[in-house]
Amino acid sequence: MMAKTCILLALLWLSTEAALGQEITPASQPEEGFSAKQALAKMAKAMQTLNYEGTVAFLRNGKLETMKYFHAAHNGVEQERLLSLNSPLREIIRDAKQVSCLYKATNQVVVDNRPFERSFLVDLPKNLDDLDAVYNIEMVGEENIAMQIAHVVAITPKDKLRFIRKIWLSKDKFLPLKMAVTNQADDVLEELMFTDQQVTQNQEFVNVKASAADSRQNEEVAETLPVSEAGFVTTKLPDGFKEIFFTRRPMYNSNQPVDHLLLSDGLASVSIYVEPVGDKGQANPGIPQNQQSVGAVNFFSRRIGDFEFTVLGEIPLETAKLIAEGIELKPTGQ
Amino acid sequence: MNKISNQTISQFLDNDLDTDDALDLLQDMHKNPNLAETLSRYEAVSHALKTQEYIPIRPDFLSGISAQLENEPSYFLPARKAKPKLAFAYNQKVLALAASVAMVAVLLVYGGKQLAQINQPAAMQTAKVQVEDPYPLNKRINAYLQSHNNSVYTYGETNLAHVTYHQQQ
Repeated sequence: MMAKTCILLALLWLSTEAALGQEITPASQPEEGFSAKQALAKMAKAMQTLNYEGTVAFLRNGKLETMKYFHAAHNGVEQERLLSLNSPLREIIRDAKQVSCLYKATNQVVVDNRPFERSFLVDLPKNLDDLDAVYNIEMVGEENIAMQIAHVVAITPKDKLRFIRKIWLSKDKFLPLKMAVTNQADDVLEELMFTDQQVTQNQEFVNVKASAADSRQNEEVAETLPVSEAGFVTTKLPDGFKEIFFTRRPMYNSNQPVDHLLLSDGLASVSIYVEPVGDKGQANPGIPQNQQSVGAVNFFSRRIGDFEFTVLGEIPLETAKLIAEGIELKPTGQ
Repeated sequence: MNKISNQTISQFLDNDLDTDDALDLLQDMHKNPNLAETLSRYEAVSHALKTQEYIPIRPDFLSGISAQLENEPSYFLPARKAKPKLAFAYNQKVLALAASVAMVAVLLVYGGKQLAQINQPAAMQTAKVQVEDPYPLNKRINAYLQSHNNSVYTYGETNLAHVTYHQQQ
């Protein structure tokens, strides 16, 4: 009787331990023995070091752009290339810190210096620990994308001030196969997805300068200025957002310089643009002028004194509004 | 014959011609450049009587079209040299040249010397205004988006149809 009781107690203990064991195993710890964050780190490395190509579809606001994608890597040097399959035909190349875009219809090349971005597909911070303060990163399952088995990683904000990102990365090569930005209601706002993807032995590097010699070039030069040069301060930034750069240059109107402050929390980026209002209308401090969305990018504009401030980024409209409402002009002379 | 044709043209301009006769007229104009010129004159006169608004065709209109046709862009990546494809490529060039010549010829018929001097209806004027500065807000949004990140290159430029406006609170 005593022996039976002992066996029963032992079985009960074992079953409880097993149940507890299942509970305490983090969801981000898959069978292979690496966490979701480690999977993202592997993805970042694969994206930098592998030669690969495929067809990728970009979807935003019901607009679908399908492109051929090529990534070349050799001795630590990388080149990304996108070739649009539909109008407007264009070829986009990223070399280190520069993006060149050739528009076929006009034979025009736009050369854009972008030192703060690293990929057309998924841009993660160099140190993924930077995301810990404001995001939870976990494995949420496996799916098939482009005939490949993929880990699904969800990057969920700890507050309601940012969007959710899901990344599908191939179980075999750890390359990204799909990426989606969704709101808190799980509506997809932006999405990119490979319909086919192959790792290759080599990829050709394209010499942009030589190939675009006969094209009309338009170089976008953004000289970085100290943030202290900005005539405003932000007092209501959500946690995790840091200043990336500040510039002052003409944009859509060659006679009108625009101040641009870029902020990022490591995943989502926010831009603040400032333009003088001029004679367009009376100053109307604190009153929102415009609230717009393009895919996951939300805009919020307000006028302060003689300036119009526009906050935009891959953030909810409420967050853009919050940041805009926290903008204050620096007192004259500072 | 000429009188009948002129009457037909007048009916055509006033939208009084039935579909079959209109198609016949258009086919005749294709064959007879003088008829096309007559239509242009009638259209200009009719427009002048109705609106008193004119906009002249730019003198470099045809040369601009020709320049666009000749200005064939190329991709960054050099074309792979494959001998069997050369003949095909040559044929394509010949066809493209022939098509360009044909197009210029058609333009010459319809938009030749006299047409260039004739004033155009208001519809053209409206189109001109739209081309010059279609959506200033678009320019601004796209400039902001381009400076913000590279989505303008991947997702393409945004136009007003892609912008959702939210109710102000």
